[in-house]
Amino acid sequence: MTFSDIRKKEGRISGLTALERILPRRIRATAKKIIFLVLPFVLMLLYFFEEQALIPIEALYAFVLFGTAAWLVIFMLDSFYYAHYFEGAHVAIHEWGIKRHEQTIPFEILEIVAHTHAADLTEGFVKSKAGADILQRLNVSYAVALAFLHGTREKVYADPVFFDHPLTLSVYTKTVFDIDKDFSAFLASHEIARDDLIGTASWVSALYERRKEMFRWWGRDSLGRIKAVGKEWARSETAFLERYGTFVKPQEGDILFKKEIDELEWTLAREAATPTMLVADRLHKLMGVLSGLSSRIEDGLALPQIAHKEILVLDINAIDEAATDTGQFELLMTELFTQALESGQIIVAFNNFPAFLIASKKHGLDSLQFIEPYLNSPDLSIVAFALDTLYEKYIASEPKLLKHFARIFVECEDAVILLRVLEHKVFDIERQSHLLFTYQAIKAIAERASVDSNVNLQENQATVLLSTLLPRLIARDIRVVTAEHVAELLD
Amino acid sequence: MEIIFLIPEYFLWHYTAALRSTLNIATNFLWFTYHFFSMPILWQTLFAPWQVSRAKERIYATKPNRGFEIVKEASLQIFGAVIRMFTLVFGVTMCVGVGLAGVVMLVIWFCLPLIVAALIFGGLRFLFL
Repeated sequence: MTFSDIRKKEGRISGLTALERILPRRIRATAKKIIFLVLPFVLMLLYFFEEQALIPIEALYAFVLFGTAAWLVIFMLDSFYYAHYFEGAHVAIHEWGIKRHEQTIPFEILEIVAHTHAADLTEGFVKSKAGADILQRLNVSYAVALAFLHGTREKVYADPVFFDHPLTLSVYTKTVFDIDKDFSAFLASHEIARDDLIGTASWVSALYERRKEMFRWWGRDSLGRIKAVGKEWARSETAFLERYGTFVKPQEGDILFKKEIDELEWTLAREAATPTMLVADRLHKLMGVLSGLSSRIEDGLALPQIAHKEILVLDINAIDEAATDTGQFELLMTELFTQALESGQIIVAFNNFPAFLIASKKHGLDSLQFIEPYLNSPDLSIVAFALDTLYEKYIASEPKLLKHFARIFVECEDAVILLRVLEHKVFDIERQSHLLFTYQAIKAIAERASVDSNVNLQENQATVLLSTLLPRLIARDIRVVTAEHVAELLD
Repeated sequence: MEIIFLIPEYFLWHYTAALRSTLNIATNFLWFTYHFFSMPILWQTLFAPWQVSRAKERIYATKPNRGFEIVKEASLQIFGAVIRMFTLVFGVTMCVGVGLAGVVMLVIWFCLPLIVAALIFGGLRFLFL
């Protein structure tokens, strides 16, 4: 997709983007609040002055009517704005009339394009809200960025610039960096590498997504997370299932693998639950995803389609050992699946799917033929675990099997996981304080926390570092937190 | 200058995409009410025993059911059915209420520009007539 293609899409809301420049939503919100507070006061005045002629009563009536009209106009404009703002936001549960995330261009990008003159791609990016947010998170102030724009540089003509699909804020930022050599040199002079810029862009994009998620309270994703009545009024018998499997215990907090948990929850919550293959380099990561999902279910925060369910992890080795006679493996597996289906409240997880394939072969069972009806069943949710090496060896080369599964590759790099955790925690801190963390500060905390080899301990360490840092930052009245602040205050 | 496009853009949106969105929001609330009262689950488990605990299941699995336990389970099933039925009826009533509220919301949205015009006109009348 070229810049001129995006421009065409932006053209349909050029009036709206102009409104946002002239009368930003912050000002509109304040105006609405003022009207909302002043109108009842005027109504009270009306009540008191009805019999007296101090203020013309007609003027007060007119004020009430004009005030209500003004409030409604701002409300209508806000609705118009938010309809476009939320377009393309991630929705787990499909809503009628809402386009999928991949089919639309995020509003932030349309805003950048609205700011961009065809003669200067970079200026539009730097002057836009998203561009300014990204640069601020990289500790480049708006004044410094403006000085760069006004300095000597070779401008990039925007129209022919090509952007990869799907167009996200990270992709847009990366393209601007790659195509404008002066801009990349400017960032390099501030010790900002390409990866840092892309990392920051995806962080800012995730922040926007979270805000959209929070504000869109009327969406099915938000409404569906309200704890429902009667989800646990019926429990079926599970003694047999528990002989060959374990119910996953909820784990406190689901930040560590939030992205994967979200993805798994969304896949399982579809109308016809899609079997999901989870692939990671270590088993504890896979279990972490399931524990996080289980925690959401326990807290009543899971989406309605799975809110009443429990996750049972089958122990293939135990089934394999119990099946001593010919055909017993198939019998056991059939009984397990039948009970899970009858219950209608169980998500079946394989702790080692390649082991199931190997055991099936050993017991003379055609694994694909056996499992296919269960994979196709809309009433049964199946999650299969596979370590990445075993996935490559046993599953990747089986297209007939693979076509049944949605695949989720769990983030393998501990450093990336840790950064993600910190970004998540910082979002909550920033909402409650006046602090603004830069990407470099987050990285500095992550580096300090990563002395331990275990990612769970690293997360704890990062939390401790953040809570140590926080009062010190507030005491020093620091607003923008940099890597230097982290070094100074934690040493 | 682009601000002048706001009015046609707005009205085009108000009577096309926004109507669809209003309908979408109404269906979201209907969907929420339907799921809030766990209607599909309650219907499927209408005659299931009331909140069987894991510990009890284990006892049932190892010991044969005695007469007392059969009676207890039957009474739990009846109790469960009554509670579920009551919740289902209440849920259906709420769904109807939400559906009606959705229709009202749609009508108000459709008339909103007219309401604004009427308010402004009324205000002017108070001032000048």
